[in-house]
Amino acid sequence: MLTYIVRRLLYSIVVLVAASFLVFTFVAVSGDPLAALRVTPNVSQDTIQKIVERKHLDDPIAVRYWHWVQDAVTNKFGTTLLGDRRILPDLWRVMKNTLQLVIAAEFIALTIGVGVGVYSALRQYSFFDYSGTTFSFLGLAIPVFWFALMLQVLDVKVFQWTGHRVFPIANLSSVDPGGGIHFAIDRIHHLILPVFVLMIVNMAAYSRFMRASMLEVLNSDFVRTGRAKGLPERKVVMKHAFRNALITIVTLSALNLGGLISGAIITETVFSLDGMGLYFVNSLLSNDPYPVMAWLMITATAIIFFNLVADVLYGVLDPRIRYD
Amino acid sequence: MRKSSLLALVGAFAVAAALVIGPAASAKPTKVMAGTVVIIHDQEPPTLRGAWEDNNLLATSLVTNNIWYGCEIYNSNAQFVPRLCTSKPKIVKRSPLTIRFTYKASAVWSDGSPVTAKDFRATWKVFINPHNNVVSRTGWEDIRSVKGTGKTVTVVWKKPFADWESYVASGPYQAKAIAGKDMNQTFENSIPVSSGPWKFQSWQKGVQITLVKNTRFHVYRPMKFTRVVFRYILDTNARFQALKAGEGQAIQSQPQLQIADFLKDRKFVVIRKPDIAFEHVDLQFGPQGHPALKKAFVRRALTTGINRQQIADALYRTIAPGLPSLNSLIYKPFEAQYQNFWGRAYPFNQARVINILKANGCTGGPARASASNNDIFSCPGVGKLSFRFFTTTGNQLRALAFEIMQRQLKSVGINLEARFQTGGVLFGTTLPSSDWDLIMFTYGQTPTSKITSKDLYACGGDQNYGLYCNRNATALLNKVPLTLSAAQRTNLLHQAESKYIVKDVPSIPLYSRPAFTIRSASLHGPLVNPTTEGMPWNISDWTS
Amino acid sequence: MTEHQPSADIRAQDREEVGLTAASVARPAGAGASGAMVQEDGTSAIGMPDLNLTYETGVELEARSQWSYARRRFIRHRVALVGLFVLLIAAIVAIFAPKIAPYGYDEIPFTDPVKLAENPNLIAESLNQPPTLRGWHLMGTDQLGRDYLSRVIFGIRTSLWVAFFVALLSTAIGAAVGAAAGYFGGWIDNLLMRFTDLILVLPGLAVLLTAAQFFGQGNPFKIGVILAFLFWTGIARIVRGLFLSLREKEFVEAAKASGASDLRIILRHMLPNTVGPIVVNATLVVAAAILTEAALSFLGFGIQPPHAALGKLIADGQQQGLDTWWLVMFPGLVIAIVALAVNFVGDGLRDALDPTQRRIRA
Repeated sequence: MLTYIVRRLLYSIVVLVAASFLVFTFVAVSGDPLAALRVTPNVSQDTIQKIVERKHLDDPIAVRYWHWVQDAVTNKFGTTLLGDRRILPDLWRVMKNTLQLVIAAEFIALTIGVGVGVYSALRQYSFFDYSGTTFSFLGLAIPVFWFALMLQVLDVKVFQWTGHRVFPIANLSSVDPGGGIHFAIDRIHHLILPVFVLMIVNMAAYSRFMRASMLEVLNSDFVRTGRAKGLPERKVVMKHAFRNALITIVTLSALNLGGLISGAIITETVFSLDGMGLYFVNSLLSNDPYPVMAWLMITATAIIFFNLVADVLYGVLDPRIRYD
Repeated sequence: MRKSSLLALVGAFAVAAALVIGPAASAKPTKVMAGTVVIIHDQEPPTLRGAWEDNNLLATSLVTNNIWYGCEIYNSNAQFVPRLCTSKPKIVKRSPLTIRFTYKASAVWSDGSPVTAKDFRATWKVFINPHNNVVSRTGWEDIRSVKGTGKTVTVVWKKPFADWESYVASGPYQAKAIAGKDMNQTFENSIPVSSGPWKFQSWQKGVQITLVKNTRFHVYRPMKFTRVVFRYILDTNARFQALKAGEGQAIQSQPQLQIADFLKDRKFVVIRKPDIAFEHVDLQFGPQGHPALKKAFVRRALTTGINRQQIADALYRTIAPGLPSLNSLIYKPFEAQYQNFWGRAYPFNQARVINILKANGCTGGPARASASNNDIFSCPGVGKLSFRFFTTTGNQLRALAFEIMQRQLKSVGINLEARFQTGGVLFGTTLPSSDWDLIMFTYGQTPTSKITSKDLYACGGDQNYGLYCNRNATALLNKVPLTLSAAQRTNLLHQAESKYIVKDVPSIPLYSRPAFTIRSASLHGPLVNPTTEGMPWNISDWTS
Repeated sequence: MTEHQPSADIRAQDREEVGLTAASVARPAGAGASGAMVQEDGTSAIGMPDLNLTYETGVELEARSQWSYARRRFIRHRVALVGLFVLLIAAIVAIFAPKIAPYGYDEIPFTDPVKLAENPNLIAESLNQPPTLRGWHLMGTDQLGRDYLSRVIFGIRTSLWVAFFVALLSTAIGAAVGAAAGYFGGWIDNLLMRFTDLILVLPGLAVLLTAAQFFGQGNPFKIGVILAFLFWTGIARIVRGLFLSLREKEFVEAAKASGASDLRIILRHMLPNTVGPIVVNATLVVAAAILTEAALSFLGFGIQPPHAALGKLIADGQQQGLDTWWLVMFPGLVIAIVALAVNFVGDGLRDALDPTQRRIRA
């Protein structure tokens, strides 16, 4: 197992480097970061040329990539192309915001999803099961951007009828959130709608998956054995079936966590949340490779790391798995 | 998991939710703390260092224009009115061009020190310093010297410079605050002083910038509010929803279809005014453009085949009824010097388009204009009249305008192929490479942009990406920035446009965009200001 | 007694189900969460035929093939049948769109000089009309007066085309990569899996932006290719896991011993046993692709005007708020119905192809 992990980590470094070069190339060739300047009146070609030289924009991609690597290692991911603003403080800030949003959504989706899934499996083909199935599929079928907007519109309608704004429409905090515990409560209040939106899709998926997993386990030999032995149904379900079905949920959740850090772009855009997703989109659309690369390093590391964790967990929890 | 456990979990969740929502929801959200006005904006400044290479944004100037207060500011009609200065700056000598103006005795910084000529000179030095990454040195580099130590400033220019007033009126930095500092790093996230109605208090990145009343401001009426908060909401739909929900009281906006909702709502007042920015379609004269565009008759046919008034009607019916099409590339309908050059030269006429094309030997198109036509003309030596039409994504009015144009031109046998790109790609790669046929976008313009029309339409102009080159027009346009008399400038510009530009069609004016300000009915004062001063220019007059 | 083990194929395809939809748009489904597990105990989806023949009544019973059992089980899953029926209707609408649609998708009435001459007030009267029987605008008109029913019909055509194309292409690529990795093992497996990791890590938006730059935009085919490029990783991991276990089975050994080539073993013996999870995964990719394409339009990429795609219609329609509710509701309903149908069909397929499911009833 240990050699497996070490080997995977080594290969992961290669993957990281390859990914960084690829993405750098994508961003560098897919547009010009000086776009806005070129259509600003009174900006001389001379000014533009100076920036081109200062930031090596004319050099071949490999050379520019090398500049970035040096900058990233020696200068904590460096500064933005235009304006020389430090990248790491911004990245740090948006990461914290996204983690709040995404961990809350994942946790709630997991809890409710698992619960619904288990109950659906125990009462297979019942009304609860079918309605659970339908709502899950609906959750998977609804376009997120539309759903988020509808929640906002509903919120506004309630406000117009009653004068009470139940949930904030956008942003992370109010004008005067206060300090300490008030700030935290204000933040939670602002995150309720975005978490709800994110949670719906994840919950639907987890419940489907848990249901199938439970069904498979409930039909297995060892559960039949347990029942034949005369164990109370509750024990069979909770102690044996549930635990086994949970194995794959745990590994799945570990995988999901890896992808979470890249941010929920649509949700963050619609609710104007200052998070990783929005940071990435803004950097990408301004064609500045440096912030995009910094973002990529963090998200790629998370994805690769959690992929490894999931594989290892699965191997550890399920004794039938063998790694060579 | 048993049913009871599941129910317990749901119950606990509900209780927790109620605890959080309950107290928060019971607070009436309509009025923020008394004395605060919240302005919602669509873009957050990257730093507070305006006029820098990464920061030539309206979003920034909205915040900093009332901090670095100017000798004069633009009012709602894009006219200069004095603020820090005792009166309008005067030309004391024509050659070399010498301007003199005096700061009011009451013009002081928020730390008590007076605003003097030293501040203006220090500002000039910042802009001409090659180490500083300013976005543009134009104008500043044409100043030979700035003299004065007290309240009176004398500026001497190297050569006649028509746009001198914009520079002289601009708000100076405080010499003390920038002494010895690296300007590429200063004023990144805060500004310590102010000569205007408000001063900077705090910036919660990603959320809002808070400004408080500058109690030492006396050159003009002080602000009645104690606090102004700019909240940043990037998504268009969310922005308008937030305004409706009372999360802000005022917003200045480009034309958006969502504005129609507010016109019917009695809780809001929508103010509309023509903007200086205008929508246009540029044509490519260079080698990478479609060869057909090098033929004058093709360009004229194209212009005649677009019903610009119809586009304005269809798109702006709900938010700006009666919006006229634009008939000059240089002047706007609300300006006194505006003349209808294009409407007279190219009235919409589909039969005429077909005749022009046929008369020049084009074949393969429809005999008569028809809505179901799919035949495209081919002209001798240049091929099929099928043009690549570039514009930005994410702007629904622009997309709709394109679709109407496409349909109108298809009826007469000209085809437009859609090429929508993000702003970064369009302006960064496509536009400067001159590898396009037609391109539609808006130039950011100031009231004095017409003085530098040469950048757009003269041979080799800095922003002449269409590679249009007419020597006669160029000669006229190059004279304009050197001409001090406004009347003479108008004359030159009219000649250049009516004699050459209208005939050559390097660009087709579509319509002058309206600019909007929406305020909640309880807030009085906000108007539309089409310059970079924006809505807060008269913050002193706002009451609620 | 037929041998069966808890089939990891269910685990696999349901893991896939979760993975496909739990990620954000920047990472189109199939990436972060799907099938990263090494599945060395996965078994075939389809067991040995149930040779439960009896001669008690003297009636001769015929042995049925695996497929007929699967088919019978599917047909008894009524919800899946309804889903299949819905998809069939959608396919017919998509294929015969030009014949079915009452108007063209880009006919703007007020640009027609004939219509304008008849009714000078056409702009005011034709734009943004709610559904009405007049002129058979059953879904109303849009911001330019175009018939919305026609636009939705053509939108179904575009969206379904892209979605199924993405499902097919990504399944083909994923199955090929997974089969090679799982069958050959060793360094081939390692190389392919690390390559899969690489694709997983790439942010989808960056890829799309670059692709749009270089391959031109708007073409449903090109969008399909790029989306497939981002989606194939999920099925690859599943197939790999299945192959890793199948490879140890006796029938593969037997085939090898009898001198069959690798390709023949893969295609003829092993792949048919993985059809279940592959097909189910493909149906999930269809649903995910429709939604991803919808989200693409939201972010400004994707299908170019004046072409219609369901997601783009929603994004454009929601700008004017609830006043023009029909602009959002109809395409949204279509997306929801198609996605539901696809998912139910996938559900039915999974139930049908899994011999361990005891209680199959509607």
